[in-house]
Amino acid sequence: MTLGGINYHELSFAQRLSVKYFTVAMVLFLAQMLFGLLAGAQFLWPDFLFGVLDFNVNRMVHINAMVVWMLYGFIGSIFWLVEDESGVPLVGPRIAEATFWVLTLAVTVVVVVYLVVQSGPGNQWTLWLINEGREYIEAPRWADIGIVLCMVAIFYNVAGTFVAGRWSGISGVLVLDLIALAGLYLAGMFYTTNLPMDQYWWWWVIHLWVEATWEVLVGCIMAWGLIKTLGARRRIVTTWLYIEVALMFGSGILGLGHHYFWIGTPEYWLGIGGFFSALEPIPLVAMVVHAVYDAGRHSFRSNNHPALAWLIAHAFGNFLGAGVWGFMQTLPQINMYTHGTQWSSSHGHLAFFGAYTTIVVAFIYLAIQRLRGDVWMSAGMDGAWRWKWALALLHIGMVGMSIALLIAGYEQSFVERAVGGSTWQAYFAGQTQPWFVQAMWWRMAFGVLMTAGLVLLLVDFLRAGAQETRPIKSLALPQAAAAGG
Amino acid sequence: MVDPGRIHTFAGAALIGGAMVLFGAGYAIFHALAGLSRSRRFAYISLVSYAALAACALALVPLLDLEGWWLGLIALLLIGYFVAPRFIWRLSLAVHGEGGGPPEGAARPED
Ligand code: HEM
Ligand code: HEM
Ligand SMILES: [Fe+2]
Repeated sequence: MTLGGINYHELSFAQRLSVKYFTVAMVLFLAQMLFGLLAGAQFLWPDFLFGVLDFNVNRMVHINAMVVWMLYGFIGSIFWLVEDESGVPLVGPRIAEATFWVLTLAVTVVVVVYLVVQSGPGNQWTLWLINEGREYIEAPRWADIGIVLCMVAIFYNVAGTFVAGRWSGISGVLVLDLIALAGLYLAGMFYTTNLPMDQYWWWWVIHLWVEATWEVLVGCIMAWGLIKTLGARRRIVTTWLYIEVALMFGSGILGLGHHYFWIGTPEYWLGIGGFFSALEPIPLVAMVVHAVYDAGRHSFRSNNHPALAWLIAHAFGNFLGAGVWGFMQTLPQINMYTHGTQWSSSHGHLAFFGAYTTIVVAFIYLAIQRLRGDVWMSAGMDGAWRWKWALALLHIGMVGMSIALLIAGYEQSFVERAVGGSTWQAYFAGQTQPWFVQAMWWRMAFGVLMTAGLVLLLVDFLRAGAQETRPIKSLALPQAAAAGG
Repeated sequence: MVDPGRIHTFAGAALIGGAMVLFGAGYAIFHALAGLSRSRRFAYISLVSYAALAACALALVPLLDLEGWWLGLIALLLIGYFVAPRFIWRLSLAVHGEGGGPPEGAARPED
């Protein structure tokens, strides 16, 4: 290992694979932002790129790229920790390597097809070859099947490695959660021409991913991360993980009903959805106690400042974006007015960023530290301004954008829903009001700020720890060290 | 068309709902800080946050015309937000062995 150098070949096989996953994830993150800017610009200049790159295409690439890069980030994180956590090398390195390339090739083909074939009939052919038409997971059927096969291969490697090595609380939860996560994806492939039924199953994927299985997955990643950055005790972290799973699944599974208010599903969903989803923020609030406790106990000493900062951003971002912004519109009495306005978009942006972008970025910083030969990445770290500014720009941009969208959503609820009575005309009237138009400008301005932050972040990923020659200092607490060696 | 005044009530209820969750975090954070620093001021702020949370939750009742078993939801929210942070706090202490018992669950060697 050379301190500050690139120690790619000293990494284990699975960790080298993680670096590949993280690299593709960041390329897609950048693509997500660029397509977001294009879609945002089309709110301001509706003719912009009309017929060349239509809004529906930009929007689709924007959110599909997001889902895919986050999944890449999670898979990368899992491969990063699997050997360390199980104590043995990956069971199927060849398969793992091949899976990465097949998956990445498939993603590339899907995106190219989105961009080349932007319109046309919707029939069995297009369903199989071009676009399945389900928001967030629009990949055509052939790619769906490929994705499922790749997931099976990845699952084989992860679960198989734990079987070959040792199990822990974290790995047990992780493996069970992966089964649920992959199984739910199948619900998104179900085809029917009945729209309420189609939406019914589609929400199984989207809601039960982000509000149940993804939360638990990042809980596992975070648990491992806390042990690594703070030297937190395994026992406390694992116990907390079990509680988190119980609370998340307890409220999140039936919380699904908050998407069944107005899609033609039976009326009892108003009660079930409102009731259980209103309880969803409770685990997120409780999680904050755990973060404060851990940080306080260790007096914010950590061997990787950027990673810790992004882990804290995760705890608060998850709470704010999902908990606060989600609760605002989750009771049917309120959702009746806010449903499908920019209010939802405001929540969607803040929640995805706060809960999932943050944790993937934190994990990449952990990986970079190792890649640089376990260098010092705490107080007095060289070029620390870069990660601090990147974090600040991304957060100011995201919060600013969410507030702008919230204002636009409030205006839409008022003009379109209340005054206009939700007619087709009112839908457009709501989008010509000055409050709405100005909010779209602000969203754009904050979007540019965010993009600048992302570019700086990517530069920092390449530079962090590069000039560093001091080694990491072990962080384990004195008692932990005494007890555990 | 709905009475335009009514929509401000609903939007207000949404913002109050958001504030309720924020106060929930305030309650949780200051509860944890009070425990860490054994400061009475933090304990006090924590309780004030909870009081604000309760006020927001109760304000939802008239604003949204809640009745019947929706009132049960408000009660459940009041209990859930009160209990969950305290429970997690106790759990953190217990697992760290600070509840009086010996320190348990030592990290593995590679930790
Ligand atoms: C990290 C977790 C979460 C993420 C990533 C997330 C993301 C999203 C997104 C993207 C949408 C828009 C979906 C669409 O395209 O129609 C949405 C809708 C919604 N979310 Fe969340 N959410 C999360 C957690 C929560 C929580 C905890 C709650 C409730 C307390 C909640 C309540 C809602 C509601 C009610 C809607 C429907 C909005 C509408 O009617 O238009 N979300 N969420
Ligand atoms: C340069 C910054 C960004 C810009 C300009 C931007 C712009 C947009 C636009 C114009 C839409 C379509 C909204 C509509 O249909 O009315 C959208 C949707 C969406 N974006 Fe972004 N975005 C940006 C960054 C992000 C980031 C960082 C995330 C998450 C990590 C994100 C997540 C989403 C989600 C989940 C939706 C779907 C929301 C819904 O349907 O409710 N965006 N974005
Ligand atoms: Fe949901």
